Amino acid sequence: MQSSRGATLNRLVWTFGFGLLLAFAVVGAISMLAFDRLVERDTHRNVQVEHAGLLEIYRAGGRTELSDTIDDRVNEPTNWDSVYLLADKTGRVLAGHAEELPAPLWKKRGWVRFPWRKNEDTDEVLAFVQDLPNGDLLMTGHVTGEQQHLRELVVRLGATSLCLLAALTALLGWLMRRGVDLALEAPLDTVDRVAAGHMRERVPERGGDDGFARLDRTLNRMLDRIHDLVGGIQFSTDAIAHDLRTPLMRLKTRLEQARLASRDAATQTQVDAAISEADQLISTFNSLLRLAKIESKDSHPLDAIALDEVLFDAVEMWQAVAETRGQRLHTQIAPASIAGDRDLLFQLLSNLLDNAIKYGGDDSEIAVALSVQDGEVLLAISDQGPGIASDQRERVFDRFVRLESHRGTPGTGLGLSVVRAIAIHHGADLRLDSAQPGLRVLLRFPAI
Amino acid sequence: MRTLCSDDRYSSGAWITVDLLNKETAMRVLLVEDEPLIADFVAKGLREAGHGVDHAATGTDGLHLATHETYDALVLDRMLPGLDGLELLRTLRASGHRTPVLMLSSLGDVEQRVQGLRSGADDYLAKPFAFVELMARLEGLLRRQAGGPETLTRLRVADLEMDLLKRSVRRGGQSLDLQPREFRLLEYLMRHAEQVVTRTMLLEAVWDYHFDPQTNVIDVHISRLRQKIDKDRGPQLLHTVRGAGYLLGLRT
Repeated sequence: MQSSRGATLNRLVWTFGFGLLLAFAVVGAISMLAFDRLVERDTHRNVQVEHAGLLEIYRAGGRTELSDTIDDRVNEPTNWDSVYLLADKTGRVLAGHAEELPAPLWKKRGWVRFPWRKNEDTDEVLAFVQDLPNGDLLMTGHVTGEQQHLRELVVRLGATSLCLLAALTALLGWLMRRGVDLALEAPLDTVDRVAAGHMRERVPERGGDDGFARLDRTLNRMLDRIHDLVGGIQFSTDAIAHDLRTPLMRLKTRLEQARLASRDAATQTQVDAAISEADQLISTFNSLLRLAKIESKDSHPLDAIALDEVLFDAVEMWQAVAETRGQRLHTQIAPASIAGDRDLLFQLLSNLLDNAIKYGGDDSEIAVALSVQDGEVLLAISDQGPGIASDQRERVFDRFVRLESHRGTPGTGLGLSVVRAIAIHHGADLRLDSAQPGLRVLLRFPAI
Repeated sequence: MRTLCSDDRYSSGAWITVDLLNKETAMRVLLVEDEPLIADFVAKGLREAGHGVDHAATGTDGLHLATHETYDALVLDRMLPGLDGLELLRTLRASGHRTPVLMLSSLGDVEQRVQGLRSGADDYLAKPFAFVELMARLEGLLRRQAGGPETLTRLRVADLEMDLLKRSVRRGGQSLDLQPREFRLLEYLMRHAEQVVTRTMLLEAVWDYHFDPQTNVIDVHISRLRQKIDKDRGPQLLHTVRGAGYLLGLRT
């Protein structure tokens, strides 16, 4: 349960974190593109404006004026990012950056882009190339290096932010997980305690109407409902007890009256048999009621019980029965205390010993061991009987289940149901396995 | 739960019961029970045993009789119309009445039993019960009321003797070797000599556990004890009473 809760929460946090990072990356990429387009448009416009200015100069002052202006501009240090070229029809350079310009340029017109090498830096130039009316060629361009640098800066900034954001998301995710775990702690603890039998415990309710507050309220409603249902079972058990016992009492009373009134032996035998049947019926009915009572008990028992003493008494009681069948009871009993109910524990031990004797077979051995190991009290009762097949071991705890092989022997089919109910009531772990051959019953109680 | 009596000499439960009860001094009993069949049966049985019986069918009538008349014992049903049996008992005890009360109930659970005893009942009997068991418990109550034999250091039934100080048992002068539990069992039977004791009474008094033995484990212990005290040692003292329990005493 713990790990699956962790998995759910981890998935939630990871999905959230990954989504956040993805969103950031997408927004970053879109911003980059938009920024690029903006800068590009700006460069285009600058080139266009400058080119138009040069055309104006050409129209007013002709080739000479244009050539002079270009020379002036090339030599202007603040104008380092502008690129110019004025050439005649034959390709002879009249003004501008002749030597740095690549040859293929001469064949193109309109917008061109080419690499630009100057001061060890490789940049790019965006330029506009146009034929003048006299056949000359005019090119106006702009180095876009600045734009390139800016873009790199933005990418680096974005990457750094992304890393930072990833770290932050991880931290937030961890905090969120812890927060959720802490918020669930109180309701989970309460539910655990209720499951352990403290039926009246309730989750401390938080205000507000978020999921946790609703969880608290819903859990409490559910616990109230369970409490009502258990109470209902208890009530109907009492009601059934009364309703059924009265007719059973009448039946037994009438039989006893008949027995007292009868004078002939045959009738007496018949009535005695009927009384014995009625007693069997009453016995089963009592076991069933007892079982219902144990199962609906509100909380775990609190009395400190020396289980070794109770076990000793039970063994002593059943030893006599075992001896009538030539069985030997071997005991290995260490002092062990548990929180328990003395009478119920005696009932449990009694049912187990009764079973071991009943199914163990004549002249067999029965081993009873009580020990303390790692804060647990271990009880093991083994017989040398036919045992129980592994696929039947859960089934035998159900009410009225009697295995085919045991049909002939007396019993109500409730003995192990009672054992299990008492074990659960004591918070004990109950297991059946093979004693090779025979059955071994293992009980693990929490020690005190 | 009960096996049929294997003891042929006592196959007639009626005879043994009446015979046994006549030995007790007559007492006056108030029976508060709303179920006519059971009331008639119990009243008839008590009268046959030589006791005087008044019967009330409701809690209010019962309380009225209990406070205005004097009784040796009360047999009180727990669930009654009018006034609940527990309530009746509490009222009675609160006003200082100390008459021994045997409570009858269809709620035979240990907790219910404890609740009944806390409310002032002296003993508690779950329905359905056998009349002999009711009788045995009622007699037990009266003995306890009379002071009981607790101060005795020696018990004697016929030629069976128990020395409570030396923890020794002799029959006809011959010493018997008993296990501690057998000793307690025999002590209880001797303290209740000539009285029917039921299996439930033995479980509670000798083993001190309230539980439901699925098999008749008590019978096994009784027969072991019988082997030790009765076998080849004269007339049988430890008898099985059909449908009820056991009796220690000399039958002729």
